[in-house]
Amino acid sequence: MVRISGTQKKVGIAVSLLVGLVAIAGVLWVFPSASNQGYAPEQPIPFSHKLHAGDNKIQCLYCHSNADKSRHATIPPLSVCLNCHTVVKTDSPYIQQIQKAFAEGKPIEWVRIHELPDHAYFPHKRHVAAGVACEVCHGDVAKMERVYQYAPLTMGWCMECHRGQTTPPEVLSKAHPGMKNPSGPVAPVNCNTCHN
Amino acid sequence: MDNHHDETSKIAPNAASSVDSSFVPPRHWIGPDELEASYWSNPQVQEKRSQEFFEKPVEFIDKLDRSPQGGVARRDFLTIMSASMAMAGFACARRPVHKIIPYVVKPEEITPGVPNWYASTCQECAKGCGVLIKNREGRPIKLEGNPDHPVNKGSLCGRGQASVLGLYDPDRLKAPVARNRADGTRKESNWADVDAAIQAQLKKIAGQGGRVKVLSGEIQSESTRRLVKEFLGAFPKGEHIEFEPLALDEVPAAQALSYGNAVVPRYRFDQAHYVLSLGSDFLGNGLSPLESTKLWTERRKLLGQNPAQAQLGKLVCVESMMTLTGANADQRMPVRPGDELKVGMAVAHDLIIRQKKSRFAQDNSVISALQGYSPEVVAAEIGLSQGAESIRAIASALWENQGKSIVVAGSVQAKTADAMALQIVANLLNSALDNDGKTVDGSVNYSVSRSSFVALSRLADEMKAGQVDALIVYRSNPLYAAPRAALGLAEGLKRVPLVIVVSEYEDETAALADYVLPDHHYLENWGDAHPNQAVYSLQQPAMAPIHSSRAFQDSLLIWKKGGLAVSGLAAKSLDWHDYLQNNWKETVYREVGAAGSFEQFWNGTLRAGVVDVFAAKGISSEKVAPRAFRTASVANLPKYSAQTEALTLALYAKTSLYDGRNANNAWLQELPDSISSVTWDNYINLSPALAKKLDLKDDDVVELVSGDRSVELPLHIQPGLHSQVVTVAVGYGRTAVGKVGNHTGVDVFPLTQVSGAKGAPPALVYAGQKVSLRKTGKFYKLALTQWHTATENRPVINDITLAEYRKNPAQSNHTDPHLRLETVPTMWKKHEYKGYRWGMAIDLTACTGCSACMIACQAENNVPVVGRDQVRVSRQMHWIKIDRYYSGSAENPNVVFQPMLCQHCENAPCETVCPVLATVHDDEGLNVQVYNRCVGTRYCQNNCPYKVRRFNFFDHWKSYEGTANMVWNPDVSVRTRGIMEKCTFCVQRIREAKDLAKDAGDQVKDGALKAACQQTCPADAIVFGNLNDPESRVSKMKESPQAFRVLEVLNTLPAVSYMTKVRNQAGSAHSGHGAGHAE
Repeated sequence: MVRISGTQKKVGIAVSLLVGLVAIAGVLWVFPSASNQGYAPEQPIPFSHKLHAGDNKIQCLYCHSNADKSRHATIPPLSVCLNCHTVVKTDSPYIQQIQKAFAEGKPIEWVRIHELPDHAYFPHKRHVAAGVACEVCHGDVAKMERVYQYAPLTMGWCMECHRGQTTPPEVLSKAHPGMKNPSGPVAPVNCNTCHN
Repeated sequence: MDNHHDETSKIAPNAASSVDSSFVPPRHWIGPDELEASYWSNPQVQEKRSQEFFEKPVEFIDKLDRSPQGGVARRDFLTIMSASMAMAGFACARRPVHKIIPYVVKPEEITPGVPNWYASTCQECAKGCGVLIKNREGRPIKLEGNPDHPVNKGSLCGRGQASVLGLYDPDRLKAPVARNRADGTRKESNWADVDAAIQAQLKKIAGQGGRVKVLSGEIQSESTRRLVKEFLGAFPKGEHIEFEPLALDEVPAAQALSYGNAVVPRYRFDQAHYVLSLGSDFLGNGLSPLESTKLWTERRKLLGQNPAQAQLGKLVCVESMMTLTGANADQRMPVRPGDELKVGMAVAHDLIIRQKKSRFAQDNSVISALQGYSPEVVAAEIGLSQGAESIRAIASALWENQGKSIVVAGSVQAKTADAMALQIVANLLNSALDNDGKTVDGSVNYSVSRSSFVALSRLADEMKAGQVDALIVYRSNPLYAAPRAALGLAEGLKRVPLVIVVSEYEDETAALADYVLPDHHYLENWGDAHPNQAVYSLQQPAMAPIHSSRAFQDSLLIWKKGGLAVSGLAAKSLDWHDYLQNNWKETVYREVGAAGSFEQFWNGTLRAGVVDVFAAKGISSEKVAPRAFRTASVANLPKYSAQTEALTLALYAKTSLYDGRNANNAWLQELPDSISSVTWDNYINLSPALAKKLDLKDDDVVELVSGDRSVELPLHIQPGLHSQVVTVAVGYGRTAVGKVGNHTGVDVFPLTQVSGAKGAPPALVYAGQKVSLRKTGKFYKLALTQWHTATENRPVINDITLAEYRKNPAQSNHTDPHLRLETVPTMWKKHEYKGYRWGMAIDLTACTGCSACMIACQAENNVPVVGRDQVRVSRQMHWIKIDRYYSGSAENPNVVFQPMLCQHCENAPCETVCPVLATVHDDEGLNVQVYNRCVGTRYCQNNCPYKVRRFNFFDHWKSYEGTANMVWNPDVSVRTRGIMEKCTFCVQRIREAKDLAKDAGDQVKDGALKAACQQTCPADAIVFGNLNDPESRVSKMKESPQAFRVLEVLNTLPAVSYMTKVRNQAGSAHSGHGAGHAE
């Protein structure tokens, strides 16, 4: 039987600890967090939010018309694009691409940026009704040439706002009317508030 | 239970006045084994009943167990481990790229994420119930009863609830099929080709004799019936035959004999104090079960009555099979098929001849018809335990309740050769008791039934004689659901030159057709229904057709363009929708006499789904006139003769599978039978006494021989049957319906007979055949759920008689002082509920056990189907289940149903044992299961005293193939393997209700929020609401003395209260069905 000395034992433990640490560090380096923050995929048509929402000051709800009616804000149907683009900038190849898709009845397949897991329920409607401005979660889209994921959209980030820690002041004062320095939770933090 | 006894806890003082020392609680049992004294002392039983699962998943252990010591073999263990390690490595890949695909042009009425509701009419059977279809992004995901519909008043049965899964059945016929009947080849075709071929052939036939027949199931739609008639007008000898296999065509036929008009009367159960059912299952599979249940349970509500003078309707049931009606009866008489008539005759004999009551007491024709049926003779022949006295008691009680009672008769399992006579004796009794014109309303033709077995058998003869040129079969499957061999239907069809089958499935009849044409599902089609003279109901498509199917009605309108000289509306209508509108304009619009244009009337009716002609015209449906009974009709009653001593068969239909048309619907196949709790199979039912005599046990495979036919079926021992009765359900053993239904169970339609009395019209006979049984020595394990959640024999139900209730409405079955602790010390702090606190109350006296709630819950909450093998090892997933308990003797037990679901305990045992906090309490009283946190330890399931938690041993959602995936509710997570789930109190519905209330700046109003089970309940037995509101219905029920909590002594403080089951029996509930006498 091979005998293991005390030193060998110590070295063995140290090596396995080291290997373990390196493995954990490696995983963390590859996947820094569960968040997709900063994700900015290329879209089939390089739609510029800066041009539309920024320079031309089109309201968010003009295109994302269900944000105050439904859990989904919704990407606008092609017919909404053509409200303007039957006359505006019809010489652009991208607009022609849209017109062609419309004529053929084939929708544009946009790449999804903001995506919560299937087991998380997020209603746009209630947040809009509570006075949360679009920018709070989506960033200053009016300055984005290509939209990226502004907020981490992690559970902790949601909870901080629900608990009143990172809540925008206008939402706080709406949730606690009559309070001088409004503070405290603004929304429930039950598990089934978001998971069911 | 001893460990629950604590020195510091107080024994409930239960003031002496409220303790009835003479009270003997009924002992509830699940199977007759428990009645044997040795059962509870058996150590194996004790161990079994204390473990988490009643059944061990033996087959998996068997597969792995190769080492001599048992357990998992080392090599297998390593294989499994390395596989899971490898899988774990792949799990953390980059998240996938998903696409968002918006509409090109968004339909104006659709907001993604917000449901639309459309009113329509259910077409699963011919009762004409109104439904509201919940549509999400253009597809139906859930059906609910239409609260404004006079037939079902908001409720819906299990079959109706499950029809949304039928819509998405991947096995539906997808395109037209052309067959060459000579060589049996089958070829997928298209509409243009089949239309051209059919048009040419029909035109030829129209010119030469034109013997074209349309065979359909019972048609609800007057417009369709008219269209078929006009279409057939193009042929010199066209004929439309309607045949519904389970229709009670003897009801209108006997009404015609007794009263002159072939109507189906309206039974006003809400007006009846006393109901005698002679083999009628009006609560389960009757003339209109939802409507009857709604009305009858109005007489079974105790809340709001002064307990000391409380009144309940009394139900007495004479039947050959344990049906829902019998299970809900206060007094039940198990008899042989055919004896229902004898009991009815004996009741009439006692009333009219002995007591000389009623206007028929001097009528010689009636008296001579009843001769020979004295209660003594009948009771002796049947072997009634209480003898003739039980029949006399019924006669006296009926007379006491003149004009306030109902005698209702007939069902599939009572369809013997004497079915017509059974109806006539019921008519005689109703007229003798002056019920006709009060509780029985024959002035309204209640169900517009045209089903005729006589017509089907004539058609069969004509086909065999080569007198039919073309046969169009629509929504009918005579080569399965009919006595096909007795009628010679297969050989008849072979002699018809052109056979067209229009169906959703390529079914058994389709195999002998030239053309098989896919029909729309009713959720894809226009239509209407006329369930009674007062009601017209409209059916509208809730989605575009999924497959290349076409409405049968459109097919007729297209075929007529091939040069057929059709008349009337068929000549001028463009398509089926146009025809329907034209017909409504000519008929319903005129009949109602609506103000405004037809356009307005149509749109209004489309939105409401229904138009009540009586209400529109101000005709009171309360005004009912008695009819003159034609005493000549008693000549149809047979002379008394005793049945021969032999086993007698009764075929019956389950409320789930009905006649087998839904056999491919997995929700219905897995729905446990209300009485036997068996899923996925049919079986032979025998009484315990007969099984003992024949030395048969549960799950033995038995050969049932009837004449020259025989079938082999597993055995289920059913308490409460007459000892000479054998019963089997039809609707199983389909061979051409789809993956789920094919070869599931055994087809017993061949055991039906055609009664051939000379001179009398042929009738379809389901019951009364003499049979013999033979043990095969084979064994087949039925997948039954009744033992899966057996408790350790602790009382879980309060079950008392009306007499006991009047004495003490709070009478509890917990007589053990240890089970009556009033205050139990607790180490937990109570939760604080500032806003809502959700709770439920379930009325056990109202609940009929129909199980509609189980399917409603399944549809609402994405509860998966697990399959027969998984049910066998007690892994079914239903969040709400109907537990059935017996009490009293095995010969004639009392039955009680208890809907059992997560109790949302205040001190939830599951919450304290979860190591990862995946099940926690929320601030509105819900016990929350967090799927994404759950790691699947199953500690919670083990610690739950109510056994309502369900574990996903597999990815059951994967069994939903293709189009079936469209049935998922997008507001509820689809659960994956390895996690626990259970009732959420429909948290998504709570959220929706709160959302709407917040929009209106208000609180959720009582009644505005309904759980899915409550919404569909035809008995209104389930009430859900806010316990923090003292005025809410649920609070009032919770506070009533009748309320109790299950296993209260465990101090779990459930949010679900049950209302004590109260039976209208005089004695004590423990003595069983035979004991009670009329109140």
